[in-house]
Amino acid sequence: MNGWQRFAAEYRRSLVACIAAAVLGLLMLAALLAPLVSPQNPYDLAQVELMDARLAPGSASSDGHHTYWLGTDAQGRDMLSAILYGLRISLVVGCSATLLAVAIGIVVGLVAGYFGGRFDALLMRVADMQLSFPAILVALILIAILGQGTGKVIGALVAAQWAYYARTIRGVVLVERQREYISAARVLALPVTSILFRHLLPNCMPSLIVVGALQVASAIALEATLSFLGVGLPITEPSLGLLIANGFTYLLSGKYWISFFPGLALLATIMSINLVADQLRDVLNPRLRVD
Amino acid sequence: MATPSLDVDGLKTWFFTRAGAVKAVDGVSFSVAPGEVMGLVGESGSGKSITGFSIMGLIDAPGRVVDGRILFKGEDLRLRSDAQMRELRGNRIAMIFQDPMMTLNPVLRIDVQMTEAVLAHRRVTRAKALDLACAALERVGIAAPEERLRAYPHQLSGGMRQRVAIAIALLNEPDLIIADEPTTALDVTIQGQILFEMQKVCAASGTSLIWITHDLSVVAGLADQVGVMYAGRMVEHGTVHQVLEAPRHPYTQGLIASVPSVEARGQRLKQIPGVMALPIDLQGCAFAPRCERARVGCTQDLPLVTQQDGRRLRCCNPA
Repeated sequence: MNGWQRFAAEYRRSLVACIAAAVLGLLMLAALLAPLVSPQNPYDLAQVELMDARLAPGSASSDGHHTYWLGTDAQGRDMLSAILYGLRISLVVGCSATLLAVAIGIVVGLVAGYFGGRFDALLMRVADMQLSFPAILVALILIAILGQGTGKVIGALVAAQWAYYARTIRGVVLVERQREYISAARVLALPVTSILFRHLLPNCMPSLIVVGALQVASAIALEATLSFLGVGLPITEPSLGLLIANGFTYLLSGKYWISFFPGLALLATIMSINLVADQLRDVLNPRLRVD
Repeated sequence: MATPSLDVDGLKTWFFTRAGAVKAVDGVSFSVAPGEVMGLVGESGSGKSITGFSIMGLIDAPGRVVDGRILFKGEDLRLRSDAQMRELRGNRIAMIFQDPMMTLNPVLRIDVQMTEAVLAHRRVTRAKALDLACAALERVGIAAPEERLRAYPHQLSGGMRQRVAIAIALLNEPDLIIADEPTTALDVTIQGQILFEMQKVCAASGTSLIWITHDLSVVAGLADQVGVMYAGRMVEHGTVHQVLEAPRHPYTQGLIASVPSVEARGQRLKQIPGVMALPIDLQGCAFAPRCERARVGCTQDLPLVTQQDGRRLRCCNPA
């Protein structure tokens, strides 16, 4: 049995995790194929009919051609299409922010952990300072300084999250660098970059994957929060958070679906990511393994 | 005798801690000729490993080599810059560690780890590096080296892993190998095989070997000369015959007496009472508090004195 087969076998032990993985896969596929599968392009004003505004789920359109399965919002946009497109944006922003934060965290964590000393102290105090503020506050301050825009939101998410990765990696490196294989690598006078990225990094991977998977979920949640507060993504690129915000005013007048379904999509995304990450942690961490 | 491969003179490596300067290595001198095997013996914390790391130039803060000369083929290594030391390390001087479970990176395949060691020092193609790796594995007696190259460390046994570690040390045909207790974690038969291979390889290539160990039986079978260290100092140094057959320092005698032997079956094993003092502010002989032969004069500092038979001894009341 090779590594992947064993991994798959252990992952399959939890039914919940399998369902979560399936839901996550479905959501990602839907987001990826949004332009192909959604009934309407919610950004194409020619397709949006103002006559159809705020229709309940299951209503037929005014021209009688199709059904709005999840209802429509105040502009007459099909909610299902808006959610698919919104999910796409949420996932892209969340994942790209995570990737960037991981890249920064890896470099900072490896360097701080391996070299130690003053450099380590400086970097880790910066990380500590950062972690002592709530992530949302850091992101809000940055958005206030930088201004709005997709790139800037990603920047704010990266700034709010790199420290988690840097801390995780540093912790692992502090343990790993005591191992003799690192002494052996130093004795062979391997280049420092090779010791850091070829010898230390792969040994940090299990922890990194787990933290990364959990943090993708919180990046998506953070972005949704920012958008909900109106300081996130621009209104022309509505993510799930913005869709929830749009329907917020109609909640008390009984038109729940404008907020409810995007909220449900967000919940499903974050929960499935968290469940998958949880199972990954159990599978990748032999100390938690029960045999 | 030709220029020695390595000539260490008055080496002092101190660690500057809050409690004071820990003199982990305090004035150690010895020299090793090409093809010669030197055994460095002592209990844990006596400074054997730190001596090895000092030669490699790999002492981390708060430690520092504060004094002494380390002449490698006549050139003082302490005058070399970091970059110049890196050219030597793993290339002209190699080191092997104690635990074969730990010296190989668990997530990298053997071929990656071996070719990397070659490519760090030589401008050769990957294919050529792989050939060299293969040849090195063959030299340390590994069957089917091509197959082993594609394995991960966890797929190999302990003895096999230590052979791989030794093969990595041999890759660039070094002039000096420092082996830090490389057979301690192995069982006796594997240990014997590895000692045999090492002896063969060193004799064939004229490589000098410093074998750091606390196992006197290994030294007896392998070394030409033996240095016994205690609390950072050499206490007795001579040929393997002198030191092991007619030890004169009470510590050396104690070490030899505490090796279990077949003849003394059923008898209580001799042991040296007490523990080694931390080498901070030592006055006089560090071994005196544990020594059977200690007397008043032992509180005086004593130099390493060359005896009539050529051995060097640091003791005011030798046997």
